[in-house]
Amino acid sequence: MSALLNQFLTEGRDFLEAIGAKLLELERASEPEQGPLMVELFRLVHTLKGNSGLFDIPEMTRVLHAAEDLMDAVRDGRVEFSRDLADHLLEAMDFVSLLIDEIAEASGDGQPPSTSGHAREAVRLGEALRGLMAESIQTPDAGDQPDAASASNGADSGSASETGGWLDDLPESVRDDLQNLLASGESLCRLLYRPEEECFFKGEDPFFQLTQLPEPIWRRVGAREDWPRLAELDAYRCVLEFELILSTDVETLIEHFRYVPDQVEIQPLSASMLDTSVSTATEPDSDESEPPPPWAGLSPEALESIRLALEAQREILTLGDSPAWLGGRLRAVGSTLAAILTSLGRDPATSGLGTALEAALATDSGTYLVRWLDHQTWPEAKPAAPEPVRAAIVTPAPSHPTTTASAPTAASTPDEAVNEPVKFGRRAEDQLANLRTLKVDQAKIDRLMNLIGEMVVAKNALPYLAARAEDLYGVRELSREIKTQYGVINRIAEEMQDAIMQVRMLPVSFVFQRFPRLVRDIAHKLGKEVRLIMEGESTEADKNIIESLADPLIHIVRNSLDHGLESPAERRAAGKPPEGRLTISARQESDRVLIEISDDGRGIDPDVIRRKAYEKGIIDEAALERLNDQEAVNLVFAAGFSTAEQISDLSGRGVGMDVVRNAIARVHGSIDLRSRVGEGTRLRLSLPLSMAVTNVMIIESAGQRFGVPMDAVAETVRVARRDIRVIKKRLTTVLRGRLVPLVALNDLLALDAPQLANDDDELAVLVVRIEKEYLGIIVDDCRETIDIILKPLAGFLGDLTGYSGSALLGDGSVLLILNPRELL
Amino acid sequence: MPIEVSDNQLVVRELLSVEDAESLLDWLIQHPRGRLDLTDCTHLHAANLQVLMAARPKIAAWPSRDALADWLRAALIQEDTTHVQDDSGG
Amino acid sequence: MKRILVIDDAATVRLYHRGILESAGFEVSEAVNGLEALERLAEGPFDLYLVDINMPKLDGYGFLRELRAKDIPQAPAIMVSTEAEDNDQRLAYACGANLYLIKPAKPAQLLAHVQTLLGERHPS
Repeated sequence: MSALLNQFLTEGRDFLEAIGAKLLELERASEPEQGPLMVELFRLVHTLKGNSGLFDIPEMTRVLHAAEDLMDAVRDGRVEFSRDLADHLLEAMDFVSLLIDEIAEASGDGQPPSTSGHAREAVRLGEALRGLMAESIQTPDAGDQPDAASASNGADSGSASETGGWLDDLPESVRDDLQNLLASGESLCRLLYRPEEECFFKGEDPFFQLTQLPEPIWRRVGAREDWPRLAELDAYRCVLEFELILSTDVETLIEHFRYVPDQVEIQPLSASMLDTSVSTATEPDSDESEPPPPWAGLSPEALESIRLALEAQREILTLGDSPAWLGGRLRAVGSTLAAILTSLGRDPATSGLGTALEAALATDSGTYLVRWLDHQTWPEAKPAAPEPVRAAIVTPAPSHPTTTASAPTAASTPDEAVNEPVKFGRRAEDQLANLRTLKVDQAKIDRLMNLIGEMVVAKNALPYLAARAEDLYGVRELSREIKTQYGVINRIAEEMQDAIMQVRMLPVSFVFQRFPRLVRDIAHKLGKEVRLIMEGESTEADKNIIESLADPLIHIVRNSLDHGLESPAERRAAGKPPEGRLTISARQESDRVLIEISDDGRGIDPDVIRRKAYEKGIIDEAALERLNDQEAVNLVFAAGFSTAEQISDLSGRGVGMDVVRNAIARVHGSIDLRSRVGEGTRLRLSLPLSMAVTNVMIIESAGQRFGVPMDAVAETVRVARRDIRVIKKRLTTVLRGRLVPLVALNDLLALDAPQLANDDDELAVLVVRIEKEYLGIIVDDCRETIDIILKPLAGFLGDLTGYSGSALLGDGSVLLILNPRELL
Repeated sequence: MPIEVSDNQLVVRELLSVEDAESLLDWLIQHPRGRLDLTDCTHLHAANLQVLMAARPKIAAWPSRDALADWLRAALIQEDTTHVQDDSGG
Repeated sequence: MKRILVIDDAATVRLYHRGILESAGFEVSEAVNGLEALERLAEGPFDLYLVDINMPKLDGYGFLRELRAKDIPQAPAIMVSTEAEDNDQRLAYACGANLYLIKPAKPAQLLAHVQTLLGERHPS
């Protein structure tokens, strides 16, 4: 997708959201407030329309144009804002949003895909919006809307638009031709094209449009009104009217006329239409009582058996294999279909079945017979046949009062409904065409997630099995094979896991999108000027992660606005620009998502924090001395700490940064706070991309096994006992020229056992990294790393700090996972 | 670009553009019995088409391009009378 | 009179089918397995085949494959099975069946299907 299109889509979504918000605001706003909102609303719609014009999306532009005109009228007071009007605008924006989604899902080459399938809906919405103007204005000269007015007038006038009559005008020979073409599986359409009067001034040449179509089977060129005397003729007011029957499908025509969808009527032809039209011609009041189908007398069982048999033949034809006996199979289907026709009281000889069968045999494929099946009229609904689907979605176009009147009776049977012009919109047909995207219940994804989790655990049993095969049964060969097999299963499980993760990925914009509004509102309330900068909104992470981010982020942003950024006066006094900057950015770094929230506000004064923490009894006097500035700043995360002089109604509510940190920690994220007095504050959240599977290293200590998350492990080393020194009462050693403090795990866990060394008197040390500090944990042994599904500890165990959870191992045992950060 | 060759016959070469419709109409008003030679005409803008339909001039030669000729015949020679007006031009 | 070949290794089933079909005025021939059914084709093509799946020597699938490979008028075939497995139905269609029924089919039902596949107007 091109950067431009991408930008348009992203911005478009923002605009839509803003428009939606503005509309809702407008509804609640008092009269004096409404003015600026309307101006803003007009600007948004106007800009969005302008943007859409950069691309080939006439459906979107059409609706937005109508919305723009309407908002223009509202802004100028020509039309009164009402709930009804807001509803219409919201509906129109939903439509635009749908198009944006559709374009975002498709399009690989930088060009938006054709959205012409929505042409009718676009026309309908456009007309509805313009209709609101016409209604409210109450003036007959709707001078600025000539196209809408004339288009609907034009569609209403003229006898040819009435669906019943036009078939009778066809010469017998043409009708026969059409019958034959339909029987041979051609798709035929009738096209009625009434270019609008002003079309010449818009640079259109309707005649050229038509000559670009395939040669019509039948055509008629006429005029909407009687020709005047030549001297009075206005050559540039188009009154032409074209009627064609072409051998092409509906979609092609819709695409061809996508810029003038309101000026064409497109109707697929079916054999039954031509059949019934004969009787229509002789039976003047046939729309009251249509002729019974030939199978009217059949029993329900007979019809059911026919339905079953048809279904079976369709299934046979679409099998897709080509065995040696395919020819015989096709012919058997042929005789079965012929028998079905006879059962229905129809003559197989005139049905076109023979031609279709020959074509099928010639091509060694059931396709032609399937097409034939699709073009026939069968009792009741044929399952899985495209034509009836279309028939079912057809409703009379609103601009044809005559057809609407007869609709209740006509629409009750599918083959009659085919006679109505196709109407477009978000209907079954579109949904079928757009099935590339699935909407799946999250529960289903969660189930997949749980299953892959179990799979990961189950596969971990294989290395144990391999070890047992070798150690217990002494079958080395088998052990190796199991390991090989494990490798394969492991790879597949990993890919599967990855694939499922991908499904769950959401962009951070999901959370970010609410900030522009939030920041604006809060800043306004606080009398501050804030410019919000957002970056990396398309960065993705697991849905759970993204969702868990929402509340902490809002809290952080509120804090920043409330306590971080100064008032314009304060800023000026400090020599800063009056407008504060708040930056929210996201980016991916290996398997973490980093989110930074920074402001150029007053920053956090460590001395103030020290004093407050001491006052609140969070630290004692000794700590007051010992803490460096960074450590002091980090005290804001301590439970019960709140820096605000009084709890403000915005960020206060008794919720402190400790809550934020806990929320982030719950999804295995970390938070890092840096601040410089007078310059600003930066909070960095580091979160896993997904939270399903954790890679842990297994360690042994005091005869027990524990897991340590690999993301905390920097390295594992063996340190000779003699290289361990005691400095300031703490064990330390030098690793790669760096002094690393050491602690014994057994001490940390209060296990009454000395750490075991190996034969060379070396101790196993797990070096963990916490907030850029390195620390060595002495254990008895470091073992393999495995993937586990981390389950939080439940019940009273949940209160134990130092553990982040437990996991079930392949051999059925439970592994406790240590949380190094809290251990120390 | 239409080219007049005689008092009573207009030879149309290549394309009749939207601008040409006005002059075509004028010529047809001034030459009620004027004839058109469309042999070399490849396309005419719809505005010209409706001028021709309103004027119904004699066609001395149909376009050599079959597709165009078929369209013009459909527009100018209509057996069925849905929209043909006998009183036009008279 | 339309001729129907009933292929089943179970005499009871053959009798059951024969009864239903003859009462409706069809002419019924029988074969006890696929191989015998293929031999019966020499008597001239039938208008409909009623085929069991599991039979000795040549089962219903095999018979249908052989039948559909022959250069004779291809009449519809109904495969009658005790299994309601979807797979079997697919296989039956792939081999050349035109309808797949679970037995025992009720007389009225079986007759309705036979009449459909033979192009008989159903009594209303």
